[in-house]
Order: sequence, then structure tokens, then C-alpha cells
Amino acid sequence: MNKERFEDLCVVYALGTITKAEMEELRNALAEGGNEYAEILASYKNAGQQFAYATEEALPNPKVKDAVFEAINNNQKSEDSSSTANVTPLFGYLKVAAILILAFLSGYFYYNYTQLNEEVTVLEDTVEQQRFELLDLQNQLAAAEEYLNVISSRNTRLVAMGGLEPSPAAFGRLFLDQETSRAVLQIAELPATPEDKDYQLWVIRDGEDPVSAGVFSLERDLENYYLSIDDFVEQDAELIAAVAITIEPRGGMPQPTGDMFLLGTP
Amino acid sequence: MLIAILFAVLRSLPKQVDKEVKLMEKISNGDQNAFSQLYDDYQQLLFRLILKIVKDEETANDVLQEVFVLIWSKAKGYNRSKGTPFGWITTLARNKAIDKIRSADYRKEKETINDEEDFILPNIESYNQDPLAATMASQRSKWMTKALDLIPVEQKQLLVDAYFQGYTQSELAKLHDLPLGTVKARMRQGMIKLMNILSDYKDKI
Repeated sequence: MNKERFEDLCVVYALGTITKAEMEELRNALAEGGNEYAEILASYKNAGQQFAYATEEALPNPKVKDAVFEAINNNQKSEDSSSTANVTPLFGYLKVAAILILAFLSGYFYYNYTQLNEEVTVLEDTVEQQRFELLDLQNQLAAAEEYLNVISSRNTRLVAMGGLEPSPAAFGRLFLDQETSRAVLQIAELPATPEDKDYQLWVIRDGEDPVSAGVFSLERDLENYYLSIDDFVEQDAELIAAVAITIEPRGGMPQPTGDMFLLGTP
Repeated sequence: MLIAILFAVLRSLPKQVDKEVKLMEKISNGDQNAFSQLYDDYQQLLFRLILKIVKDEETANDVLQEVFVLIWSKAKGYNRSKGTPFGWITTLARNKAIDKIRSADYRKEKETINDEEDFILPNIESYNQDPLAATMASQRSKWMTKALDLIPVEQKQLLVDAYFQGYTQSELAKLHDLPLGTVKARMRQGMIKLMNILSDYKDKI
């Protein structure tokens, strides 16, 4: 198969409109093309998945969550009740004995089969996990180098933030590249975010209301945490009077409502 | 100093995928708290995606509910080799939303892949990093919209119609009154352009 045809298949796969016949063709092409083709397909797939973000702002009805949980709990109840109902009577000792012997043999062979299968699955998972971790480390290294580009740029300005009452030991630094509007936020010693909360970064210009510069969460307490921010809300560090981080309900708020954890001025 | 920062970054970069895989494992074991967290993380993204497809808020809320019930019931079947939770979940939501705007036999008739399981090519995802992985989730939408605006409109339109309406290339050719070869070429060129834009973005972070 020529590369152009292969890429046509990658396009429809990535956009989720591939037909069964094309899928078969794609599987064959991957078997022939090896890692090179797999990497090309992965690039298409990753790009295709980003389409999920090309949407306009909208919020679902808050009642949907309750309805979802009600539905899954109802399903659970009906599964539980069906599993305890309808006990079928048995007919005669011979049939019972035959059924028991068959059940025993089936169980024995099934047990051996599943044991072997589980071992194979565990080994496959280990290999896959290690390969993933290696790629993950390579990606982290690449991202770290990219962060360093922002931090070390000659147009970068630094805003240092100190910890306030909820977490006095915390501190933060905002590196703002004034030429590209990209920023890197470094946070240290901030506690992990509660499940229903997010941290929100604010920029305050003189005499103006705070403007949100992004929302993030911390899964666990971290010594240091870095985030990149593209198109930072204010390109000119001279116009920033202060930068702050507050804790807000998940998803963030239009204006700060929660405790302020970090505050700094340029 | 720079080396110290480099190591600090390496230690602390958020591992969103790991976090979500762990969440999916908990959900597959019946952990409703984990499911609640996944709901909070994904509700807005999925609602926006579904709404863009079905174009009606009430229907979008219904589909969102169906999608999350489906995620709960199918979570046991998910594992990392099937790709990222993000890819798995958004594919599920998109397909469910497209089913809603099509007749029941529509996808059967045109023989596109209907079952998410059949759509999986194991271990493809881990060959490449998500191009926007280092970006705040709240910024991704803005960036993807901007990226699509940089693609020639005749290419962008075909890609958007395919993703959000589920049209095959033959259907797009009829819809836009174009030869099939032109549709294929434009979509291929558009995707290549999009990948370059996303890659440039990744390089510039």
C-alpha cells in the first residue's frame, strides 16, 4: 500500500468515520508497515482526538449527575436481585451427579486456562507499562526543556508569590515571556486540592477587578509543580499590579470567592 | 540552577494520563467516589462535544446521562492498551451523540465502525504524546479553535463535518458536490496542517 492511501485511512480512523472494510485495510497496512506506520497513525489519532475541544462554552444541567447516579444504583439493585432469584429444581440423583461431575471438570479446566491467561496478561501488561513509562520519561524530558526555554528567555519577567494564612510555607513564581505571551507557573508547598475544588490563578491590574489566568488542581502535595500557560492574559509585566492564587469550586469562578493561598507583586 | 529546575520539573510534571487510568481502575472496581470525580472532570467537555453534535440542550443532557451510565457499565472492559481514558471516553460520547442524530440503522447501513471495541488498535496511543498534554485543560479549547482557524476553510469544513456529523468521505463528496479524490486530498492536507500546527505549539511551550 502506498503511503498516501495509508494516510487517507489514518484520516478517517482519526476522525472516527472509518468503515469496516477500511479498518481491515488499515490493520493489514499496520502489520506491513511496522513501527513507522504505527507512529504515523498515532500522530493522526492524537490530532483527531483534539477535535473534542473545538467546541463552544456550555454547561450541562446540574441534575444530570444525580440522574446518572440514580441510574447506576438502580441497575446495580436489579442485577443483585436477579442474581438471587429463580433457583431451578433438580431432577433425580443421577442427573445431579452428572451435573456435578461436569461442573467439576469444567471448573478444573477453566481454572487452568484462566491461570495461564492471567500470567500472559500480567507479562504483557508489564512490558506495555515499562514501554509507556520510558516514553513518558522521554516526553517529560522534552517538556522540561521546553519550560526551560521560557524560564531562561531574555524577555522573561518574574513575579514571586508568598504564602498566606492557609498555607504560609507555600510560595510560587510566575515566569512571563513578554515577547511570546507564554508563561510558566511554579508552585511549591501548596496542599493537594480537595476533590470538589480547584486552584485558580488571578492577575490584578491597577484599579481593575481580578482576571482569571487559569485553573489547575494538585492531586497530591508536591514539593514543586510546574504548569505552562499559553496566551497569558497580560503580556506586559509592567501592567500587572499583583498575581494571586485562590481556592475555588471545581472549574473556577468568574471572580475570586475562596481563600487566597499565594499573593505576589512584580 | 537550570539543572535543579530541570530535575524539579521532571519530578513534578502532572501525569494526567496516569491519574485518569487509576481513576478508571477504581471505577471498574465499583468506586462511586472515583466515578464522581471523573464526572466532574469530564462533564463540561463531553456536554460541549455532545451539544455541538445534537444542537439541542435538552437532548445533549439526555445523551450526557446515557454516556456516563455507559462509562460506568463499560469501565471493567477498559485497560491502558486501549488508549488513554480521554480518547476512550470522548470516542464513546461522540459516537453516542452521532447515533442520536441518525436513524437507528444509519451506521449499520454505511458500515462504519459502530462498536468502540472494534475501533481499537492496541498500543497505538503510546507511540506518541498528546500534543497538548502540557497545556491547562481550560486553554485547550481556545487553542484547538485557533488551530482550526489556521487551516484553509475548505479543508477545515470537511474535517469538522466528518468529526462532528460522522459523515464518511463518500457522503462528504455528495454533500459538498466534490469528487471523492478531492475530498480525500483536502482532508489529508488539512490533517497534516493541523498536526504541524499542534506540533509547532508543542515545540513553542
